[in-house]
Amino acid sequence: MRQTPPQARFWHRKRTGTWKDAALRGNNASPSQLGSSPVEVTDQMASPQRPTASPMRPLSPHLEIFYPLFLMMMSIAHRITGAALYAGTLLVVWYLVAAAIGPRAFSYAQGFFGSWFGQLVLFGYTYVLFHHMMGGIRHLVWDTGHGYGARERRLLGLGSVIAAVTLTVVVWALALFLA
Amino acid sequence: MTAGMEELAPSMHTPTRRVRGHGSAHHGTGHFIKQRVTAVAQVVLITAFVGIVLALRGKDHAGAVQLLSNPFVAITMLLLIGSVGLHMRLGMQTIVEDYFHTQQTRIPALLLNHFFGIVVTAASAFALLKISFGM
Repeated sequence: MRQTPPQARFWHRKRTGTWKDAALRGNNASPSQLGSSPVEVTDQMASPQRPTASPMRPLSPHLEIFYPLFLMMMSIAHRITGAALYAGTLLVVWYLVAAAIGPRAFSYAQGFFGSWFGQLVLFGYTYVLFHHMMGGIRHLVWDTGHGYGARERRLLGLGSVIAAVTLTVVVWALALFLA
Repeated sequence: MTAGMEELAPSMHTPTRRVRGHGSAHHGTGHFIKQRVTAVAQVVLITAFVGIVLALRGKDHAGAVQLLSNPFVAITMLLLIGSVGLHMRLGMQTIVEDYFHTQQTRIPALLLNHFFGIVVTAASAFALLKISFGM
């Protein structure tokens, strides 16, 4: 077996496959082709079936190559929570429009938000809102050019989750005990 | 115009060669700045919004209308809706541009995104104004 190329050492390899197996997944080349011409395969990875100048390797390392890591999950979670809040605006619209229409329409909305399912949705909404807000603040910190060190990134990530959980608990404690 | 990657693969051009010279739409900086400005505004506005929702919990129609027609509450809500309406469209636009690879799907998705954001903003703003002015 040839030595792993230097850049591959920084890629978190998944399962038993090598970085090359992952890079070749979905392409026509098979592992047996690797042994025959090591130099060309490493540099260009063009398979004989496809006359193309496209290098047969990922243009940038993609999801299937990495183990799921905490900060990577936080990045994905920021996008997912953003998309969830996007859909969640419909609940705000429903509440406001129902209030504008009149007592009857409003009672339907209140009925939903007051039900156990509605409360569950609102609880999730609260956490998602605070998670995205804390993630956004994290990004604003990065925008100032600070917080890029390994330790700092980890602290910011952990801190934003802890802050989001805390704020959610505080808001729901207020909602339940200030009744 | 733009075909899928598979259709272009037999070309002797490298992927870099295919995209070089096409440049960007030169709207990226404006997008970035608007996303950040609305984000900063929302740190304040969402905090106020959570307080308003807490105050609204359990209120009947008359109580909710009374609270929402308070000028401070109504103005805060209108500012929030304006900011969110832009922020959510910019965010979803980025998601659509990342995952919709052909013009045939990307353009309708971008249109839907903008329509959705504007409808949400308009409906909420109209509702708030109607509640406030009591017509």
